[in-house]
Amino acid sequence: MEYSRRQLNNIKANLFEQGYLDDQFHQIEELQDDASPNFLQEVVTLFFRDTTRLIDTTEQALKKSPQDFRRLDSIMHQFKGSSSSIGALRVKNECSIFRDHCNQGNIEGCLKSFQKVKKELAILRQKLEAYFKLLNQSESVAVKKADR
Amino acid sequence: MTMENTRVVGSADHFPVGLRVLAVDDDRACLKLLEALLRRCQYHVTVTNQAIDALKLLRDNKNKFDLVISDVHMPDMDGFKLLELVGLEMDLPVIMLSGNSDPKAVMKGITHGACDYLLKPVRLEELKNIWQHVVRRKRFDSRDVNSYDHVDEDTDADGSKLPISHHAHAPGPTASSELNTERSSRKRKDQDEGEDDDFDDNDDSSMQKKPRVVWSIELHRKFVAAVNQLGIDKAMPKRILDLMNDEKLTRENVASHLQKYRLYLKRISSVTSHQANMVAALGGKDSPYLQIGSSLENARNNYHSFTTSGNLSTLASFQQGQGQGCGGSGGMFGILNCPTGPSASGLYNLASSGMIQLGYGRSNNNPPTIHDLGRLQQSISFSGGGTQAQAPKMSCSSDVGALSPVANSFLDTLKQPSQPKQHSGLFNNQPILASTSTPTSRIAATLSGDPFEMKTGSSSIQTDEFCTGSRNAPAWSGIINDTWYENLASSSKLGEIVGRNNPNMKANTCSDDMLASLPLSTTDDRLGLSVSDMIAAGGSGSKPSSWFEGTVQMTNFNYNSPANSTLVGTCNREDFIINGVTTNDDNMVNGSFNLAPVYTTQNSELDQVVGGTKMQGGGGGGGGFDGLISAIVKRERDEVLMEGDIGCDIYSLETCM
Repeated sequence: MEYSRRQLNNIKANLFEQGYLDDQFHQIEELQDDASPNFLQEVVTLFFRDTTRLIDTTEQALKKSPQDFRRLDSIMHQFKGSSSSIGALRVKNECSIFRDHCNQGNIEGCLKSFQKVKKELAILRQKLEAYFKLLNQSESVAVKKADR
Repeated sequence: MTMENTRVVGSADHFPVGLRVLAVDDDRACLKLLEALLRRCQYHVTVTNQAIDALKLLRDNKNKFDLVISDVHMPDMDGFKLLELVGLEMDLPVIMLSGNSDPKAVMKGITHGACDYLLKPVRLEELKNIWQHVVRRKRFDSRDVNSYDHVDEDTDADGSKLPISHHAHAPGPTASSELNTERSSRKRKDQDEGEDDDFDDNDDSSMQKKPRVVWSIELHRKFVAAVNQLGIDKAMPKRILDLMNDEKLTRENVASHLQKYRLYLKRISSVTSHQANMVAALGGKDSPYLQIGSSLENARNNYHSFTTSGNLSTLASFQQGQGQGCGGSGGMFGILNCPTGPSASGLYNLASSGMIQLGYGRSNNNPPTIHDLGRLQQSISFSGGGTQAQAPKMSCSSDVGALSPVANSFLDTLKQPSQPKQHSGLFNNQPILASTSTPTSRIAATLSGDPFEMKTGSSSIQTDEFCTGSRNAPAWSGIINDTWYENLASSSKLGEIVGRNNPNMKANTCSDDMLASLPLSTTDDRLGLSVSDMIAAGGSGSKPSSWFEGTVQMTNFNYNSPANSTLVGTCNREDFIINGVTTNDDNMVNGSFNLAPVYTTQNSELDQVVGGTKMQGGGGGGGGFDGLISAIVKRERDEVLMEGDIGCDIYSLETCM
């Protein structure tokens, strides 16, 4: 349906404009082909699974006392790398900020930016889920149309 | 030295298409992305998200990959460590991948030997160029080979180490000597002993223009025969090669193997001198068996000497009485050491370390040489052992055909060159030594009916394998590393191991032709039954070769079956039963496996097991899934065991000739 296609494009454009996603996301889209038709969603799904785990790990690490900044930095490094790989720009940026705080030994800063990381992650997830839902719907509709 | 044709990577015609890349990253999203990008470059990609699995893959298939890409930041192993190991062992180019652009990190990559350092997110354009690292290495290696060549002749005579300076002065373009220096500097970091190995690894590296030689038992036999003939100290690669008369080998292969062999002998002889002390302490003198592990010359001498010793006649009658596992070779048995002591059974009046019986190879008509020490049998019996009332007896029979035990365990050590293992332990409170390496070596034993107890050292031993049975093995039971085993003897199945605590748990460990093995140690005992590793080596015939049933929990399931063996069974989360073993070419598994991935195992093959009927084979043989399962029943034992020293070598087992 025309409408959902337009919607899709809007949503995507929006995500880019607002800086949730960057060009890396396009790279992933490009890699989707007939051989791996759900590549984008698969990668994104893996990303959210892994980052959920990383969130837990970070929370555990934050609770420790005295603070192990090296470990926190290490986890965030992971986080950052992961986010950059799927183009999760905002998340990535928050991770960088977190790491800066880590390097300065600023635990307050870490806690604050960790909240932000979580928030950005949640927002992105929500938006992408909506995007994919629509995408899948429109695709199944397209398939139905083609069948007729 | 002739240069052989370039065996480039993958498909030589369409290079770099088909470049075989191994990608390692614990971040699954990144890994998936990397995989897709590499596929876009038309490379042949293998992925793993565990560095340990990556190492295993590389070690198992040394010729299978051209290039490794690895993330720096991994939980199970530091990427730089992996980089080092890959460089040392396999000499493959490694590209590091990281989100960290800090020049210090990049520098670290370089100093650890990475040939490139890419930043995440990695781009397609960058990956399209990585093949250059492979080619670059090959080119320089070919030039290096020339220079190594000349130097070899000088050093082999006395087996001394290759001086670093030879590397640095190798002729070639500047880039080549740069590579040399890189290698040299890597070498300088190495330990003394490792240095030669490293050099030889370079010689033998997959960058060479021929496929890496697999030192099969046959080949090694020939090698050992040649070395023997020449004398271990005088053996030189060229002459060995001539004697071996094998077209597929090159002088470098032999040189490399020779150096490894020498190192091996050195190591063994230092072990055996320790053994000698031990035995002396126990009162057994002149135990020639101790020197089995030392140089070939010594062993040969001993063999000859003891066959004329008085001991022989004493035990000859004993020999005849025993009969088991000796097969029907009808050869003369030499006995090395025969201490005496009280025992319930007259035959096994042995108190001290043990004795070794040697027999001829079955098909041998020639006068005995060291290579006919195939039927090496060790009988170790102990009096007054631990908790048993009777005199327990265990004889280790090692049907290695015509392969000498020295050569055999050396081969096994070779298979895991960086991790040779020697485990000392106690057998019925007597010290023993097991030399194993995983996963191919086995400790073989024909147990003779009485209970025994065996404990092998520390819990860090993960993958020892214990093999039972030979033809007509009688029933036995015993405890091996806190695990109770019973062997229900039968003439058709060569030994079953039954879990005492769970009568349903059985494992048929042996087939007609080959012995399977069960490992001794457990890695996970949450359910009281743990599965770590088991190799079930199937038979070559059409008979079901090995089966295994019981209640186990899988941690690492890896089954290696040759052709004509199948795995049949059902398993669910808590129970895992395999009934029979047969395979067809599709490596189908008959039966249903609904093992839910409850356990965080690190074995990707398990994921294939879940809901799958199709298994992927790995490595050698005819396929099946590479499998190691050990079913172990945990039992609480409150025994205090003495710390043991080394008593004797138990050698691994191969098929009968």
